[in-house]
Amino acid sequence: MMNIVIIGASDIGTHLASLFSEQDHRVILIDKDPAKIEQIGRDLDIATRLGLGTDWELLEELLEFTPDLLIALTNDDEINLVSCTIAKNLGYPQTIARVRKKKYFMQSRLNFEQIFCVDHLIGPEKLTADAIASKILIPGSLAIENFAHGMVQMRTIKIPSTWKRQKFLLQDKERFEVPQKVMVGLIKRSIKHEMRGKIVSKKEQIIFPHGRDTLLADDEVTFIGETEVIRNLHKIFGIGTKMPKSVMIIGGSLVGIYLAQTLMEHQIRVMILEKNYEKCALLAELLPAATILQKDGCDYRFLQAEKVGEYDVVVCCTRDDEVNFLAGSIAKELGCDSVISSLSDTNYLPLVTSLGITQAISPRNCVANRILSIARQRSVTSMVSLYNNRAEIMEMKVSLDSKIAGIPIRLLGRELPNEMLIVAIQSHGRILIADGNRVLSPGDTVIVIANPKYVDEIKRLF
Amino acid sequence: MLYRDILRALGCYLWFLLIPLAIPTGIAIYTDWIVGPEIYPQPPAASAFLITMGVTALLGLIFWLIGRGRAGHLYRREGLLLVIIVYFLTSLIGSLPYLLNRTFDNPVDAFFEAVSGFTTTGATVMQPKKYEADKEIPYVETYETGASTTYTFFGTIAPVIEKSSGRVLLTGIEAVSPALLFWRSFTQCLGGGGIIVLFVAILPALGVGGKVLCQTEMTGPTKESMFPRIKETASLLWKVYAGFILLETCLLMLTNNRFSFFDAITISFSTLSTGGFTPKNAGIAFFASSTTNWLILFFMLMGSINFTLYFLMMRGKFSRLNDPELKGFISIVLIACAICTWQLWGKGGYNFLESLQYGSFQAISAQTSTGFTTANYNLWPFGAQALMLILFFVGGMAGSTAGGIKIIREQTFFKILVNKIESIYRPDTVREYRLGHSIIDSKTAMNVLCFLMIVASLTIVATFVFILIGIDPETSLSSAGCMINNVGIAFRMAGPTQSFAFLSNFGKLLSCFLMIAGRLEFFAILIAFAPSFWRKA
Repeated sequence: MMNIVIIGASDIGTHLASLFSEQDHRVILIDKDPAKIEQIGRDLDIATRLGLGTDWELLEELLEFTPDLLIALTNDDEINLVSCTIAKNLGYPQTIARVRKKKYFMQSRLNFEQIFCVDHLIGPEKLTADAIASKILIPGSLAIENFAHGMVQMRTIKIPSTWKRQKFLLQDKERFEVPQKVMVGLIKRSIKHEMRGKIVSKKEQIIFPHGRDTLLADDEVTFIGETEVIRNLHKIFGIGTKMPKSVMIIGGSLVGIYLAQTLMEHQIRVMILEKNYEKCALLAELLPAATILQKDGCDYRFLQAEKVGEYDVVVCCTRDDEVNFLAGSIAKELGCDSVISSLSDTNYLPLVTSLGITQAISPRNCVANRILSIARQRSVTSMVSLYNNRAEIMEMKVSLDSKIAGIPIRLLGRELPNEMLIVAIQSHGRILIADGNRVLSPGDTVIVIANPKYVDEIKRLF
Repeated sequence: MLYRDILRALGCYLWFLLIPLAIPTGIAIYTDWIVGPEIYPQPPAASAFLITMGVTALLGLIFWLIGRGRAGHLYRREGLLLVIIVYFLTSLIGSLPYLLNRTFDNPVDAFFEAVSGFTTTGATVMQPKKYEADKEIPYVETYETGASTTYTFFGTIAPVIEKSSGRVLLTGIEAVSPALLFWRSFTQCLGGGGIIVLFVAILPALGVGGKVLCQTEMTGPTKESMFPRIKETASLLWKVYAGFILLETCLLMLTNNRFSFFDAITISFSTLSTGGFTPKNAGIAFFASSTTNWLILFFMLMGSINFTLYFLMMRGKFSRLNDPELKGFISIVLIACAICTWQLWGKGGYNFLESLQYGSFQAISAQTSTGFTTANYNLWPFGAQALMLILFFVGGMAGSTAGGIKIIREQTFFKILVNKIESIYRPDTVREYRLGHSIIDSKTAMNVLCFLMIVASLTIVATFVFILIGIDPETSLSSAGCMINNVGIAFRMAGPTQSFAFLSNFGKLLSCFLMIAGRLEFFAILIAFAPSFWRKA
C-alpha cells in the first residue's frame, strides 16, 4: 500500500485518484476549487485538501502521511514543475509531473528533470500520440509491449473470422500451427446472447487461458513469446501487415501535432483537418511537409469530396469526444477501414466498436498505465495494464526463499491463483517459454500475467 | 433504490453483529451454566442470548440470499437508508434478549431500553415492581405544577426471590441477569463509538459506500478525516476509544475497591460513550467516593472531546490544542460548574466541597449527555435545574460521542449572528466568517442554522405531544430535551429517583424515534420523510 499525493483534480487526476483508491492505496488529492474538492471527497474514498500544489506549507503538512509519490497533474505545466521541485526538496521520495509543452520533455540543451528535481515528466498528449502511432506503424496488432529488454514481446491480435482451426484445445498447440515457443496469455471474448436472431446483450469476458481453453474466431488474443517468433504470428492467422501510406488526422490538437511529426518521420503522407484558422497557421508553421486544411472534420460532403475512404488510416483527435465519434463514423461510412479515435471519457469505450471506430485510445489510460508502472517499479520491474485494469503483465524476480522455487510449474497448480499465468522465464540470460515442465529457480525473472487483485498474493509467492 | 444491494450489505452487517453479541452470550453461559444460580440468582439469560444470535444469523443469511449476486454497491442514497435501517434493526435485535429472558414483559419496554443503549441516551425503563401483600400494585405519583398531574403505572422488573424462604434477594436493576446488564452497557459502548464505524473498520473495504455510512454516523457538521482511507480512520477511532475504556476501567478499580471488574467495565462503557447506564440501583452514588466521582467526571469530558484531537496528540501535534471549539467547550464547562456550585452552596446542607462535587458532576453529566446521577437534583434550586436543562442542548464537541447541538455549531451560529448584526448598520462590509483558521462558507452556515431550527422545532413539537398524552409540562419539556440530545436524565417524574416506566407505549415509541433522530443528527432521519427520496425515476 502506498501513500500518494495528487495535485490537481483534473480529468486525469480524478481518474488516477479513483484508480489508486480502488487498489487500496491512500490518496490525498489537492485542488484549489472548493466545489470540485467537495464533490470528489463525496464520491471517492480519499482525503482531499483545498489549496495550491505550490503551497510549501501544505506539502510539508502532508509529509506526516509519509507519502511515497507525488503526482502533479494540473493543467498548468509550470505549476506542476514547481510543485514537484518543492515536494522533492521537502523530502518526497518520488515525483511525477505532467507537462504538455514539448520543450520540457524533449531534452536538447537543458535537462528539465534535473533542473526541477522531477523524477518523471509525463506528457499525456505525447503518450497518446505515441500509442496511436504504434498502432498505425505496426499494423495487424492491437497492442504491443516489450519485456526483458526486448527479448520477449507481447502482441494482441484479433483473430479473423475466417480462421479455420477453431476448437482445438490449447494443450496441443501444434494442431493449429502456433509455435511451441509462444504462450497464449489472455483472451478477450465477447459473448453475444442471441434471442430469436437478435443480439440481446453483449458481454465481454477476460479469460486467463489454461490448457483446456480454446481459441475462437473474433477473439482478441494476447500472445507472449520470443520477439522473433511473435513477429511471424500474423501469417499463421492470415492477417495482413501492410504499412499505411497516408493518414488523415482530424483535429489539430497537441496529440495531432505529435502524431503527425512521428508519422512523417516514417515517410507517411499526413493530412490534417482543423476548424480554427489560427491553429491551422500554427500547424503550417510547425509541420511544413503536411497538408493542412481549415475545415470541420464532421463535414460529410467535404470528406466525401476529399475521398476519405482512400486513406489508409483516419485518426480523430479533437478535444471533443463527441466530435471524434461523429467524424470517425463518417469516415467509416465513407469507406475507410481503419479509424482510430482518441477518447477522454473511458466510460464511452463500450460504444466505440458499435460506432464503427476500429480502436480508441484514451489519454487517461495512457497516463494511468505509465504512472502505475512507475509507481510499482520498486517491486515489479515493468508492468502493463490491459483492458481497463482487468489484467496486468508484470515481471517478478524469484527470491531466494520463494515458496515456489524448485517445483515444476505443472505441479504448482493449486498454489497459484486461478486468474494467473506464468508466461516466460528469463534464466541466466536465456528466455524460456514457461511450459509445465520448467522449474523456477531463485534469481530468475518471471513474466506473469494476472488479475490485478492478486498482485499482493503473487508478490508473496515469489 | 437498490434494495437488494442494501439487503446484501445488511446481511453482512448482521453476521458481523454476531461478534459483539457473542460477548454477553459468553457471560450468560458462564453465570447460568458454569457457576449457577447459587451465586447469580438473577433470571438466566443464556438461552435468550443464544436464540438472539440464532435469529441474527438466520436473518443475515436470508438477507444475504436475497441480495446474492449483487455488487453490493452503495450509492449515497442507499448508504443513508442503510444507516437508518441499521439503527432500527440493531435496536430490535438488541431488545430480543430483554424480552426472551422475561426481564421485560412489554416488547416496547425492551425496544426502548435497546434504543436508549445504542443511541447512548441512557434513559431506562427499569423500575422495580411494587408489591403489597403478594399482589403487584401500581406506583401512584402526583406532581403539583400549577395543576396537579397524577401518574399511575406499574414497575417493570420483578424482584429475585429465594424460593425456599420467600425472601427478596434483589430488586430493580440488580435483579436483572448480569449478562443482560453487560449487554445494556455494551450497547452504549457500540453506539458511542459508532457501530457502523466499527463495521466499516473491521469488514473488508466498502469503498465510497463506507465513507457515506461513517459520515452519517459520526457527529458534527464537518467531518475531517484523519486518514485518506475511511477504513483506517474508523479503526483508529475505535482504538483510541477502546484505549480510553480500558484506562478508565483500570483507574476505577485501582482507586476504589468497591468496584468489581464487571462494575468497572460496564461503567466505563457508559462513561466514554456518554451513555449513562449503570448496573446498580443507586447509580454512581453506590460507589460513594469523591475520587470515583472526579474520575468519572474526567472521563465523561474525555468522551465529549473531538477524537481527532487525541490522534493529533499521539502524533505530537500539540499546537492543534489551540482549537477554538476545544477552548469554547472548556470555558462553557468551567462556567457551568461555577454557576452550579454557586447555586448549591449553602442550600440543602451542602458545604463548598460538596456543592462543587455534586454541582460539577451533575452539570457535566448533563452537558456531555451522559446522564449519570449522584444526587437528587429534583430538590435543587431552580437555577441549577434550569442550567442543567440548557446544558442538555449545549452538548459536547463535534466528532465525540456526546449528544446535543455541539459547541462548533453554536460558535458558528454566534459568528453568523455577529456578522448579521454588523451588516445591519454597515451593510457594505465584506467579511469572511472564520472559525479558527477555517472559513465558514454559506453552505455550512445554512446547514448549522437549519440544524438549530430542527432542534428547536422538534423540541417544541415533542414537548407538545408529551403534554397531549397527559404528562406535566416540566416533565414533558425535560424529557423531550433528554431524548433529542441523548442525555438520559430529565426532571420531575423522569427525575433521578425515577425511570421512564411511567410513559405510555406511544410515549416510549415517540422517545425511541427522537433518540435515533438525535443520534444521527436529524438530517439522516428526516430524509426518510422526503417523498423524493423514495420516488423512482
